[in-house]
Amino acid sequence: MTTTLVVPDRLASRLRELSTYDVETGGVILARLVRTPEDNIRLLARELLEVPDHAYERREAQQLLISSEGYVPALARAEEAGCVPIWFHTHPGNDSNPAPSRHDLTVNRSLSDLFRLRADSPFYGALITSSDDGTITFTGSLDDGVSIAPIDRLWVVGPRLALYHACDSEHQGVLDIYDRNIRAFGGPVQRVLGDLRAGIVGCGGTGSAVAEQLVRLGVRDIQLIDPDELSDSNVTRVYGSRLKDVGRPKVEVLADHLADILPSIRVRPIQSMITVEETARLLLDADIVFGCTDDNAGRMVLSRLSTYLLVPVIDCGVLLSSDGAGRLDGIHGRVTVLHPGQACLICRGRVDLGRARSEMLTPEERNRLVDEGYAPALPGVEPAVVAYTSAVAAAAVAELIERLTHHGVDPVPSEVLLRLHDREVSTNNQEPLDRHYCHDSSGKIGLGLTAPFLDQTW
Amino acid sequence: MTEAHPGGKKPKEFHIKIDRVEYHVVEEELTGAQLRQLPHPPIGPDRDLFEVIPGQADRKIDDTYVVEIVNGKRFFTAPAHINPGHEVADHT
Repeated sequence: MTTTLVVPDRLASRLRELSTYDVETGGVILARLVRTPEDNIRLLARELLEVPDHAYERREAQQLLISSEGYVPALARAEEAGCVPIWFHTHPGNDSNPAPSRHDLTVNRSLSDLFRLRADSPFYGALITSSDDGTITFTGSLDDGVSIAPIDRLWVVGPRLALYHACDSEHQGVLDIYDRNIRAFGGPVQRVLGDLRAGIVGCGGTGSAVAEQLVRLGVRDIQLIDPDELSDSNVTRVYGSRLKDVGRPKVEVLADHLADILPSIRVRPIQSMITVEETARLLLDADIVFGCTDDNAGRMVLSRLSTYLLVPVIDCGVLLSSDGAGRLDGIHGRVTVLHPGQACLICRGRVDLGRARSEMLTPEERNRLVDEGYAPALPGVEPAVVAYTSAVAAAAVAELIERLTHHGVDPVPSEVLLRLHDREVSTNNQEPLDRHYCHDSSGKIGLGLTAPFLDQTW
Repeated sequence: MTEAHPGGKKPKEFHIKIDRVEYHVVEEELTGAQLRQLPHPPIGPDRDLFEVIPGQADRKIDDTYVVEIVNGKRFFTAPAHINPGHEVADHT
């Protein structure tokens, strides 16, 4: 079992800042708990309630003395919000050690029962952070009153991404084959790539190209989701496919191909649609998801996933248009990165709601409603060319690299638009619409599991 | 606190909880000091006593504070002070 604390970047920035103070700082992080299908735990951080100044009776570089008013108020809030309360404090100073002292362990024992009781939480969490040249270092634990398990990973999600391992955890080394990557962006980012769990929704021209690039980049854990079998016209774009694979599930063709590239990776092919609830739930284990589907209903699920479960989604789209005489006159690509604080695909107008509704109908219902004029007809077979699907896939994977290496512009744009016919690239950022679920005020960011799942009709 | 009332009508009894443990009391009011005597052993000075007020912040109950007792009232105790830190080089 792995426990990951997922932290929106604004909150992570505050943790990082507090860790650089000269004196210790305490607080309570409230996090929604999500158990994943693989029996891992994800703690989705929602709030940090810092100890108010008046509750510090002593505050020094090496110790704290805090009155009960410093942390008790957070517990009622944790109960109200349905959150696990995580007692947080810093060990300040550069290169300081975030390992718990014997004293810390005694404090944890004295708080565990109270935190679980008052917050009505199955767990008491503890987190210690330090700073190492602006990077968070940490140790953490999750205590259910019987046993104590480590918090293994801290995944910072926002315009920039960062994955930290607990200081006391062990993780795999980096293979020599990634030498060229390491020369480009260094060993730490390569290690993060090796530890990421990626989901790819849609395994056609774009999704298969994303998958192949991720494997060659060093990602070792990939979940593939697609409902379709390979057709002969797919072979012109789907990486790893051959004519003799026609009729096999796309996810299996691609999984075999990825395993051929690097047998040590873990690939999980799932032949299903993301609009099936059980399938969408499989993405609870993902750190990052690439949306490579061209259906609108699937994009709506991914949009909600990024908000409710703090899973960054890199959504891709390719659209070719021709003049009707077989001449291309528009080659459009789009890569949108969904993370807390940015507009979802609906706010951006990237989802056609009418088409999404049509896609969720059975073919019989859809035909009837289209005939009656109550639903839009779904488009037929659209043009697609491997050069352009591959170009957009590369742009999407480049977004992941940029967000892990932080080498690009600040603020980081959340959307890249490629107008390949004009050889132009533009970028943008967009705020969520007021009162929409992706807006901070909705309270849905990091809300975790809801009934119904993602607050949507399945 | 629950006592027999010889010869009289059985008094109204209130069920309250402190740290998950249920106590039956007959008093309509109790001071913080009296509440601290309910558990065995009594709540020591190293822990603060709080009352859960639904929908509001928990109320810290000092020894002299008088609490109106009603059925289902919940209290909990918390360490009066915590002193986390890495004060000594004893990382374990």
